Amino acid sequence: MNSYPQIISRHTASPFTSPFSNHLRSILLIALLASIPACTTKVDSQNITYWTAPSLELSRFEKIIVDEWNDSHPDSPIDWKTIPAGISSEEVLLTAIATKTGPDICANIFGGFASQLADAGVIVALDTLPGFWDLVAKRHMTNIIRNNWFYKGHVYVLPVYTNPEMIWYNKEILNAFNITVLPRTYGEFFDLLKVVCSASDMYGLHIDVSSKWYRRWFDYLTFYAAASGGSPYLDMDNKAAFFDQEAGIAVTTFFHKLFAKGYAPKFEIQDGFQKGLFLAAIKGAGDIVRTKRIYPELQYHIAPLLVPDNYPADSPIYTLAESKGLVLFNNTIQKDQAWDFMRHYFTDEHDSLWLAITNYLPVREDLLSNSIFKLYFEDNPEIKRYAVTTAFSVPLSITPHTVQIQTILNRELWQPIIYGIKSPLAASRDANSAINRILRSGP
Amino acid sequence: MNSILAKLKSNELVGYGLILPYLIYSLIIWVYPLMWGISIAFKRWNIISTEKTFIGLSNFIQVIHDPLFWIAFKNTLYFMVVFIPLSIFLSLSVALLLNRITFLRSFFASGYLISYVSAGVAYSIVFNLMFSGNGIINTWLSGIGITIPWFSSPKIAMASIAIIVVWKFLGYYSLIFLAGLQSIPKTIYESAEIDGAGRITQFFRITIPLLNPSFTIIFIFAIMLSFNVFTEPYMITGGGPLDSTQTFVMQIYYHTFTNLHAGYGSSFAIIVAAISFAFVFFIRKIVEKDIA
Repeated sequence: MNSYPQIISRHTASPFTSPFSNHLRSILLIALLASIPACTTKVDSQNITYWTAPSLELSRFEKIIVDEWNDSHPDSPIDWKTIPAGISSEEVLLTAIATKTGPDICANIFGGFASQLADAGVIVALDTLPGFWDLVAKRHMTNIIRNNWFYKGHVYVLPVYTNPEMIWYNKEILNAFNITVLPRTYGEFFDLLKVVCSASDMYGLHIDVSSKWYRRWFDYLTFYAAASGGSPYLDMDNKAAFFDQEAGIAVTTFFHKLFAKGYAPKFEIQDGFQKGLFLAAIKGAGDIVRTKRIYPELQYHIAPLLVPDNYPADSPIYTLAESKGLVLFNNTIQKDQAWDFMRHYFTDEHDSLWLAITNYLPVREDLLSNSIFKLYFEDNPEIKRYAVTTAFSVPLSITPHTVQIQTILNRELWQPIIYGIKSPLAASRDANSAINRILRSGP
Repeated sequence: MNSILAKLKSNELVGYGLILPYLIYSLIIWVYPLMWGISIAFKRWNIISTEKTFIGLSNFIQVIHDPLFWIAFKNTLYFMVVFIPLSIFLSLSVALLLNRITFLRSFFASGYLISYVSAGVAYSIVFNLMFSGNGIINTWLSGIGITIPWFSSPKIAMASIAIIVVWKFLGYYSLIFLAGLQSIPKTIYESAEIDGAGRITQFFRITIPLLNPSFTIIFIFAIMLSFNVFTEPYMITGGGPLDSTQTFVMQIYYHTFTNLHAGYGSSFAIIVAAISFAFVFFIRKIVEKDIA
């Protein structure tokens, strides 16, 4: 009670300011000062701004290329940064474009997103620039560009890499159960899981259960490519989806059973496969380098995707290959120099370096025949397995509705299947009719 | 103009002069964007092109018929039910503890604000890792045979998001309560003690009623916050599972920046702002008391 008068006088005088001590003032001051550079940063208008994916391996490569360019082109230097954090690069980039803070050149752009940007008139039709077809021919990707990258009569993306998906099996677990033949069909896979999962605490197939739209490339749509024998999942000419056809229903039924039987958890387990908690996982070539860096002891087999039980035994197994590249924005002040940088990006030496650093496969028709990659594939047979698969890879459908379509796929099919609130047939039909409505609603 | 100035007393002129910078700031930062936002709510616009088409009330009608609007509304109510009681209970508890100490009080009080000034994206990633199936929280819990699907169960995902937001605002709300506690004259407690009132009686009959301004402020802040939750569900759950963490702002963001329909996003925002304002008005009517 002795301190009572002081407390009263101190706090009745200024009740709302008293807790805001010097400490707090210091914190607020630091926060204010820290925000000043963010508000005042101004990029030199002579520089070309270049954004790339926020990945350790990709950044290692990009740094080399940008340093090389800046050393030889001091008059038009590249300001390079990774795309700021967000759920997806696309959303962050759209926000940047809308607020006029976007880059001049951006990497990591897939065809569907590029078509959205093209419709809005913010990116350059690259095939109108001088030397485009020479560059494409020099990189041995003329047919790939002609078959997969045209949108409304033009090419808007210079594809850098392709990333087909395959299945990894944990070698240690296979050895523990004396399994020497890997499953090919859904039925064989479930038979294997029955043995492995009932005798241990582990799960069968590691899948990202989140409702992030782009994740469906790496599970449902990849399996669809395999089940359909390489057919596209959308018919852009007739504005129709095929998810309620035989292949779509087979894939939906497979995943429904996987979750219903408890072979896949309904929650996310970070690096679950690498930590030995799953027998198998769907992975791309780009996952190899990261796995080697973080889990160097992990041993695994790489196998083709699973197919329905009635899939012809003599047919090749297809997969889906996410593919991304560079776009050039219309509001670029130094368009000629930016285009020069893009051309500088695509050389045999850079592609070799790219493959070695990132493990993503360069988009080239001569990947297996060109001597510049031969030695690397001999030393890295697991990456060669992916390179061989590119011949049976289905490209992503180019539609400006990609995000909407895959958001609907999540809402109408994927999430209801995980939680067992719809039958496979109902989920396939609901998703298909909702996606058809989207396809028919716009341009 | 001169006649108006002549009517104003010199001290009034000083007053208006002092608030003029704030008025100019408000016009530029708040009023202009608000008016612009209202104007595009009546248009179809894809945000990255210059072409805008007037479509009348069509956007507003679509929002009202959008099932995800009502899902977000239900999720917001669920968020409020968890967030408001939990944040008030915990922040009041922290404030009561801080009020009892004198040594290093300012240090602890400002220390609690670290969560408030932390970057939403950064702590969302950290919480996502901590609460994941094999994260540190479930690893601890598995020691007693429990695993909680924090973000993967549609029933509890929004509650998990609310817990993270409670963590963020705990320090801020505690400071508001602490300021309120310290403004209560000690003589009132002394009189009550002489009259034989115990600690519990003093708490419920003196502390709680005299903290009414703090409660009112925190209720208003918490309600406004509930209608604006974005970073945590956006980064952690993406609105899932089964749309159980879809929020109004996520929908506004989705329609504006992903679906490229800024007019629809703007009309969504106007309707949400109106509901939020109605809630605040209603809660003030219920909670706010004159304690003078």
